[in-house]
Amino acid sequence: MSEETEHKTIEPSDSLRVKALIRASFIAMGADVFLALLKYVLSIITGNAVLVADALHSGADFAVSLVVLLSILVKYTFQGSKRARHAEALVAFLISVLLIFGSFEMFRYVWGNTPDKFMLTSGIPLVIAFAGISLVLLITLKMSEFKKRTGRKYRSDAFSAEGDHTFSDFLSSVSVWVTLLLGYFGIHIERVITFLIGIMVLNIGIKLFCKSVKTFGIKFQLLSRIADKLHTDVRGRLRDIKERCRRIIENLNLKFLLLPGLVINKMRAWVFFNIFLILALYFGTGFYVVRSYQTGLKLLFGEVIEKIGPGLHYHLPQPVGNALMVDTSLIIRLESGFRTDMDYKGKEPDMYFWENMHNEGKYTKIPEEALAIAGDENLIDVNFLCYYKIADPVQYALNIENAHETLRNLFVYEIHSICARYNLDDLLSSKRVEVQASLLSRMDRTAHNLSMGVDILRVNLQEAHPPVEVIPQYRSISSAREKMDEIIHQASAYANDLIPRSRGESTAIVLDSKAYAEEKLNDAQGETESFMLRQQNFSKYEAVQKTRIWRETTEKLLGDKVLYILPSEAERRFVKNEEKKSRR
Amino acid sequence: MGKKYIYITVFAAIIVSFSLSCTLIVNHGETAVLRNFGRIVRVIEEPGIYLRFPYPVNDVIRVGARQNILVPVPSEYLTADKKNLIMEAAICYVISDPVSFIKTLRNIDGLELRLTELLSSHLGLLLGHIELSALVNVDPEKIKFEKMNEDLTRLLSDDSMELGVDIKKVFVKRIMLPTDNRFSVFERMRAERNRIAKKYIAEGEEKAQQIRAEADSSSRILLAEAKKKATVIKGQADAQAMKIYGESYQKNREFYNFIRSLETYEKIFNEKTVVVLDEKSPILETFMSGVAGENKK
Repeated sequence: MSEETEHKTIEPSDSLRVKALIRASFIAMGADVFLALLKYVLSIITGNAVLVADALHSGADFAVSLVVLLSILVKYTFQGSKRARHAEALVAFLISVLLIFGSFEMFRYVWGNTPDKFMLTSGIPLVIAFAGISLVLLITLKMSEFKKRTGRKYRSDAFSAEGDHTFSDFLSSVSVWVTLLLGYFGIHIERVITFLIGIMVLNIGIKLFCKSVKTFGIKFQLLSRIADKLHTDVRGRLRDIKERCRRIIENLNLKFLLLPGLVINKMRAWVFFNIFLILALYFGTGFYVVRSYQTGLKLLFGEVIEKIGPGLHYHLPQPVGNALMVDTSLIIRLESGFRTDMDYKGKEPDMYFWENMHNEGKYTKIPEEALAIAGDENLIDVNFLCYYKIADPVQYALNIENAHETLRNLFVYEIHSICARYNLDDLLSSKRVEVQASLLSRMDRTAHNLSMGVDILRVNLQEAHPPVEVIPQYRSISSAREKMDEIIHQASAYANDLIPRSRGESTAIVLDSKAYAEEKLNDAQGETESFMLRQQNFSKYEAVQKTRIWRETTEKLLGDKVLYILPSEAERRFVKNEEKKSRR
Repeated sequence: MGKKYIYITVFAAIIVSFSLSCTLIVNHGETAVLRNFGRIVRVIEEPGIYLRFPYPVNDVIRVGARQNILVPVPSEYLTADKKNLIMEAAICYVISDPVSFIKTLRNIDGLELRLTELLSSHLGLLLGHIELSALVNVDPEKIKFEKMNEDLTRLLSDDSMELGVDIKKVFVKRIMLPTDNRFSVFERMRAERNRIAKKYIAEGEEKAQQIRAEADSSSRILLAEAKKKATVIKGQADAQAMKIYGESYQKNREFYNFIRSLETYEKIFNEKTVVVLDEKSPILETFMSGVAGENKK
């Protein structure tokens, strides 16, 4: 493993030994490649991060073996030429970067929100992975023994160390083995194990990194110093963690974790135990639970043999038997125009307007479903909901490929063809109930005709509104109504002002005329009365009175006037002179 | 661990893999077509376990026997009245004859491509004779949408008979306008709404005018009636007055004439009046002739 020891033990003259060692490293590398590939395949089968980490670990071991081999080759084939050493260091450097990156990726899985990487579920893939890991354990153990033996035989400390290292790999695979076993029973320790394996990979990566940088060290003093620090500090700390973990395990007396290790010497017993375990797990996959809202369909060789009620049941393991759970008593929502995220935990908007309805919060808009053409060729945004129940689980789950999506397509079709029969304003307000009812009957008929195996329970017109682009104009109509009312109110105010005034005015006119009449009558009466009185006295003394009145009047009239007294014959001439004056 | 166990393991592995490769499990919802060196020898429709020869003697093609739905990508068509429409259709089908299906289409991709092609050609043809108003109309009598879907189903079933596919239902899931046309529809909707808004305001104005006019007219009527009443009252008063005057003056016409003529003089004479008197005027009689005149008088 470590290069320094390699230099001391292998002498250039001893070429036979070198060849044997090279051959042994090739075998070791072959085994590592095989293990890495096997673990990788298993990780794909289960999709679990633990196996990915373990595969990475095997890859790292392979990389280390490659570097060791390279160093041997460099030493003895290229006689330690500087360029070859640098090439080797470069390879080691690149690999170390890859490993460090890989280990950080593992840590990211562990800390990050990646539940799908840590979901071991009991099933055939898990059993296969378990069998695979058992095989891996066997091979790793054999390789460890082989390396130790080779090291002893050819007096190579490096190989002995490698054998020890492989044994630690064996232990890491054992932890994966245990993880899978526990995962089968629903106990999840994947994150912890992934973390530990990640530390192992990081350890190897840092070791390689330090070694490669040391080779370049003459040129890059800074890097070299970093490498030294890493080597002493980080690796020391990592070793501490490892030691502490080991001590914890020992203190807890968790011997059963080392069970496969304890039976190393009884290999045959262990193999049989493992085979038994695999078979037990395999047959154990047949247990299944039918929940209270489900109906189980029990299959034997692909054929439905029984409908199962809720409870714990058993079917023969795959591929012979199988069971399928169908949610028969659940009311299933079928949405058109939007989708609801049932697990949405974020903030809901304060209010749902037309603009954000079924578009924000836990809702996602599906505009191509929501936008329909109404009967008057206007566009409308409609969101419908349909509730159904599975009446015939065999028909629904086995005779129709993705029945829910088929129903959704049918639903969208029915919605659009209904909308094409009503004009926009009716869809928005008055005909909603009618639309809902006829959609329900049509949906029911279509589902029945296509024998979807469902009962349509209800159709809801969740919401209908004009497309977002024209909403302002729709709102302006209600403003216009307000405006209309305002205008009318203003006119009424004018009328209410005018009519009483006119009434008052007319009353005034009438009263005025009455006053006039009174006045007139009183005048007449007064005048006639005075006339009569005067006349009575006048007729008594007629001659005198007449002269008196005439004289008085004449005095009054002519008293302040300019008087011309003319002789009788002069009258005409005067008039003529006056005429001349005015002509001039 | 002796070599014996290795042999046992290998033997067991061979037995298991052989038994697996000699059996065939047909699941519910699929049909298995068994081929003998490429020649179809058996079609298994019932689910269950069957015997077979291992590959390469026998090979198995599993064909889904479930009802499936195909939703091709929406595409644009032209109606009889030259309107562009985007239509998204869906086809519900079942592979009823797996042998014909394998022979003519090989796999599901071939089937989907074929159905998509058939659909777009038939839909295009049908739409060439249908106007938009027959797809979208407030009057249900004029809608031919269901008929179009039925025609489509019939045409596609006729054409896919030889493909071993049973077409259950073809339907145009949704009709949409291309983006450009959609914008013009939005414009139209906006204009329509503006028109309605204007109409509301105009109706308001109309009503307001009416209210105002009614108010004005009733006000004028009120005034006119009042005036009429006033005039009548005044007339009556005048008549009454006239009667009173007439009755009293009629009795003493002479005195009235005398008094009235004097009052008339009072009214027509004012400060500008210049009086020219004849020397023989009765006013001057005494003045001009002295006592004689008085005597005379």
